[in-house]
Amino acid sequence: MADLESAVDAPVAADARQEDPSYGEIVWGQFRKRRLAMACLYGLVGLFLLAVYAPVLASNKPFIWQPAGEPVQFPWFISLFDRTFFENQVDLFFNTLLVFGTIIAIPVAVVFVRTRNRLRRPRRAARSRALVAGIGAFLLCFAAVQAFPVQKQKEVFPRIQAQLEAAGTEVRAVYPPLPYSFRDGDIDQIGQPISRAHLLGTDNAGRDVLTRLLFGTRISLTIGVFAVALYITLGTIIGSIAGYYGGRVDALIQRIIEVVICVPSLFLILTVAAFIENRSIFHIMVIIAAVAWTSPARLIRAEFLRLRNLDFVSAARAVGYRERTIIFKEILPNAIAPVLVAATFGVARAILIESTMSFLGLGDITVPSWGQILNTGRTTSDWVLILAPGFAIFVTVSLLNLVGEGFRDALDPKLRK
Amino acid sequence: MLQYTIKRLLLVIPTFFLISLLIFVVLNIAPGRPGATGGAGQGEQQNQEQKESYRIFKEQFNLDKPILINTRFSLTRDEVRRLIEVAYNLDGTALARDRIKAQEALDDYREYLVRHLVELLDDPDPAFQRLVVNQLSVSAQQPFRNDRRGSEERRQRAREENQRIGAENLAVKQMRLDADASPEEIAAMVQAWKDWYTPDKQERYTFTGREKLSILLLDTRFAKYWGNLLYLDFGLSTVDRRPVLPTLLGKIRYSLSLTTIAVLLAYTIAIPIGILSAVRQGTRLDAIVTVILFIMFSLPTFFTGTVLLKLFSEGDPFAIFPTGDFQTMHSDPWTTWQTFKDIVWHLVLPITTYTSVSLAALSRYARTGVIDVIRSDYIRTARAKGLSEPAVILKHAVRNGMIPILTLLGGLLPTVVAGSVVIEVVFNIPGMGQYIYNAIQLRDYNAVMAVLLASSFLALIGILLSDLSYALVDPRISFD
Amino acid sequence: MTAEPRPPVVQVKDLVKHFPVYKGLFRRQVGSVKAVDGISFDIQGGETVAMVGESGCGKTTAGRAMLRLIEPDSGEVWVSGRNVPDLDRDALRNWRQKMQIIFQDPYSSLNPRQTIGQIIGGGLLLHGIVQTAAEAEDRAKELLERVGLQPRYTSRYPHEFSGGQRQRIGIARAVALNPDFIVCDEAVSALDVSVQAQVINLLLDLKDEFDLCYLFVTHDLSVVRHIADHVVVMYLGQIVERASRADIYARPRHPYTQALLSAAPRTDPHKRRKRVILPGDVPSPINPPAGCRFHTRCPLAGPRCSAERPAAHRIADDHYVACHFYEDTTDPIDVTASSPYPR
Ligand SMILES: Nc1ncnc2c1ncn2[C@@H]1O[C@H](COP(=O)(O)OP(=O)(O)OP(=O)(O)O)[C@@H](O)[C@H]1O
Ligand code: SF4
Ligand SMILES: [Mg+2]
Repeated sequence: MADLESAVDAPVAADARQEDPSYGEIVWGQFRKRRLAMACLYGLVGLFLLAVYAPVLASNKPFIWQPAGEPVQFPWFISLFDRTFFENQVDLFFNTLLVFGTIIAIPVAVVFVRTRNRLRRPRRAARSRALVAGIGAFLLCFAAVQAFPVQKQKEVFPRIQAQLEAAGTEVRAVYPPLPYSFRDGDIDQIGQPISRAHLLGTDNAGRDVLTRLLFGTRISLTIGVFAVALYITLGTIIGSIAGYYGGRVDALIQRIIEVVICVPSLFLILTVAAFIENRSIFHIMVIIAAVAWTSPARLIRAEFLRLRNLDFVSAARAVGYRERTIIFKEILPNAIAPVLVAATFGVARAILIESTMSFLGLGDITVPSWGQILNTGRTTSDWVLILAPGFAIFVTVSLLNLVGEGFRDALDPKLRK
Repeated sequence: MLQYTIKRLLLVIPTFFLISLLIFVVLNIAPGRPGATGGAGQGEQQNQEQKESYRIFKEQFNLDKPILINTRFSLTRDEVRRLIEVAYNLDGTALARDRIKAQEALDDYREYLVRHLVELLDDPDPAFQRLVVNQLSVSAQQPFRNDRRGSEERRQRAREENQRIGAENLAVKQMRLDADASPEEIAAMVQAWKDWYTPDKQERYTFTGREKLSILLLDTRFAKYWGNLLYLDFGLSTVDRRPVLPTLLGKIRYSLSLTTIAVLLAYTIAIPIGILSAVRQGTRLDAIVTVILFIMFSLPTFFTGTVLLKLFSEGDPFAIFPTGDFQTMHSDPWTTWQTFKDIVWHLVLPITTYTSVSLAALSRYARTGVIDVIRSDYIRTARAKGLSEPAVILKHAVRNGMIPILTLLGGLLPTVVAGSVVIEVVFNIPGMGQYIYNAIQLRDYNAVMAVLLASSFLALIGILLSDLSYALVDPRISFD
Repeated sequence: MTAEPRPPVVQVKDLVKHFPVYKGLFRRQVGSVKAVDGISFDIQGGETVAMVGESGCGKTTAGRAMLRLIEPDSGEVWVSGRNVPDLDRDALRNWRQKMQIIFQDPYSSLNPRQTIGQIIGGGLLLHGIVQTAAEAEDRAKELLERVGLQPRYTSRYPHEFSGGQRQRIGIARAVALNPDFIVCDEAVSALDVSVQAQVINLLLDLKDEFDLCYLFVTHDLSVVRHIADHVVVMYLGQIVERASRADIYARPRHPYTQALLSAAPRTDPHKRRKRVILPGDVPSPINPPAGCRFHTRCPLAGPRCSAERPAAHRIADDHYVACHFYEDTTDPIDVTASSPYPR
């Protein structure tokens, strides 16, 4: 490493830059250059928006409901937080996002646009402040939704409308484009083929397949993201401790990891799932996390073993930082990149595992997950019920894998110009 | 190298022990009793016989024992009294849940109760005495010795011993009192039990320090299980009450023939593809191959399987292949060739599914391996020496580039033997995968345990083999 | 050079650090690397003590053990009046402000994920020298300027700097806490010669400005000549000789020091010495030779040398030498005439 230039003051690049990109910004810049990966990222964002706004597209509650001579009602809006209609926490979460998230996103977006022309550092500070405030506000809203449960009577509006109209009362009702419930079927509509009313037909309980597919997005994304977040956190902490302390601690953790790796994960997942009565998707996420934490733990451990001997760690110790700070603030940011790449692939894998479980009848049978729909397809041998969810899984998994690949390339210094 | 190998081999033992511990604990703390489908529903409404058979069932599968450590020798008389009071709701306040629990505890504690029960015989209340007597006639029955293994001589001795135990148990079983027993009958039976509790029985039912230690660790489900495991005895299936191991071994050939062919096929296709796209790196051919493989990689196994099954065998639109199973049932004798053809015909779709899933990852590995070698210095040297391009590729790049993908083989060991749940379920192949799937759903606890243990063991060996082979072929690995 | 005597800022007494060596199937401890085996010396305020010796003789280990970046096995290290090995965890974290280190490798000693401002300012906040991030940033800017870099660099990341610039940043980090004592572990060895001189001059300026004292670990004797007030010569984990710079260069008394100096390129042709060439290799620090550790290679070695460890003899005010035959070493020895046992 020759240092030929005069060392007194020689900026490496001759320019008038006031500031320089952080590592994250460099990686993002690299990622943005990869067009396929960027397109896939947009695809994922689209998928996420579909999941959030699913009730706007499909619900059997009308936005506006007004039988002649009665005041206007808004059943759709009320149904969003109705525990008898949306029983699942996942749906409540996404509905909170749909209502409050949209409201909160507006001022946050304004901050982002306003700060566009500022210098990097103040921009970064302002934006992250806005983001933190937004997330905090959202969590408050979600807590409020949890604290004040709404429970309504069960009403099937299309049916009531038909009855009222048969009785001669005129009804003004505006429905979402797909006026169906993802949960409750119509017994008159069992096993319908593809038609204009049901773009993908109906299943063996008379439920609109497209609607279920739409709401399945919520389940798949939730399982993927949360299971991975859970096991990444767990694996990162364990791997950091093993790699940083080494010695006996490391040997012990290594042994545990080896034990968990040897147990065939799908067998174990299926077994535990089968033994849990009334399993919900939360159980499934925990089970997936419980067997999958070893791979981030190993990645992080290897990185820590490499990094802990570098001088900047000694320097941090010499300055007097606490061990916790050294592990998580000094070393971890240097070790986390490969884990984040693995996490992207991990989301894809978790979605696959969940759909495999559902396919084998060991998933959460109360939610319209894609694997669940495919399972119905297998038992009823219905092409649409096999192909549609299969395609949904395929697309989601592909998007995630391609984004992960782009991410990995962006991190690879060998490929960087 | 030798030392490294020995060290790794020695580590297999404790690791396997820990694996068994993990699986055992997970299975045992999982809610829902194993075999609950058989004789569940504890409670008063059950008649004596049902209760008896559930008790024997539990005894047979050691379910009456605690999972990891046994501290039942430290029970006190007052605790036992309390259990009886709760189980029979003597003070009228016990919740149903607690009553069931206490009843179960009384059933399970067996010989650890006897000493205290004998002392409780002195209770002034005849109704309570009657309950104690009846509990004694259950708890004083001794478990039978396992006579399923060992030398013929040992088995003979165990049988004789069991006959004696059976006779004693019969006698004990009859020393009980009906609900309408008169105070005199009760007093007589109490006396009979006191006479029964001779000094040798006293000795049998009080525990010395050494005995306590061995009870603590050895009179547990886990210890009993391992005790059997040492004789390669995986216990009986709770579903068909037959030993698990022979059934399991019978399943292996199905999984093995399916997966071996599929893996071999995947390798023979994947390696040339990988080499080709590595050599033609960056060309249109490489791009097309990459896209196709990527699609195959992202398709879930169960989806591919279901679609193939429906397309080609369920007659929608084709019905070329059989809809499942390993071979056709037939009565007339077939030649080996016919049988072989039949099996292959059955396996075409499952093998296709399996291969298509593993193909993508494998050829990706092959491609990376070769590219890494091509980029390395010694290939440049070989080129510089004037070797022709194909010679360079074949001689150096391929040979060295294949190292990573070949060492992957070891990791495939458990899958090869235990098969794939999804494929076997979709194509209805009666291999290990389907076996564990069914066992899981029927809560056939010993069968699940056996499959998990066996495939974990294979995984352990597989990892060992790939590490060793890697160390063998790559001189850069150090052995410390 | 010194006029009035000040109490030493750093006092090292019998510092020991052994690294256990494991071997075999069960990782049994089969011995230990005696990296630092009982060294003692003082550093006065405002002084630079150079520590020299061949590669692997334990210089880095000694420096790090003094700061408890690796835990010493035994011995005392008094820094500004407190014995560092005795401090509990919190007291140690506090006391670290008094003692800092500058590393050899400018590429691994700065955290790649932190800005220069964070690297320099972090310790200031931690030790309560400044209260807010803005103050820390301002102070970091001043320090950057002081070490010869542009203040606006605080928002940059380490990968944008050259080795010399990075070393300056490392220096700024060390002096930021206003310590009393800094270990410079081969702080300039990785740099180009022209840059070396600049960085050394910077260090010397800072020493006066911040009233520091240095332990300057190096094997470059020309650097030692330039900066050291005292010199400590190590061989296989022990100190064989320590003296003022003038004494070491003019009157080296230990055969090893003499060999070391004779091997160094001379700049002054008038003081040309006979070259002493040492036979053999440095013995393993796992099983160092008994008695005097140098006896396997020493031209003067006698039977006593392999039996008895020589004590540190005081032969002048500030001059100690660990050799049984220190009285016979006033003249540089002629290796060609020496047999293993000349007496
Ligand atoms: N962490 C460690 N574990 C085991 N042995 C070590 C460790 N660190 C250093 N050693 C050994 O201790 C001895 C002294 O090493 P040290 O790094 O202190 O030498 P040095 O004088 O700084 O050498 P150099 O001039 O090459 O930097 C060497 O033999 C080295 O191999
Ligand atoms: S003590 Fe002996 S061996 Fe050691 S330096 Fe002096 S003369 Fe040489
Ligand atoms: Mg060193």
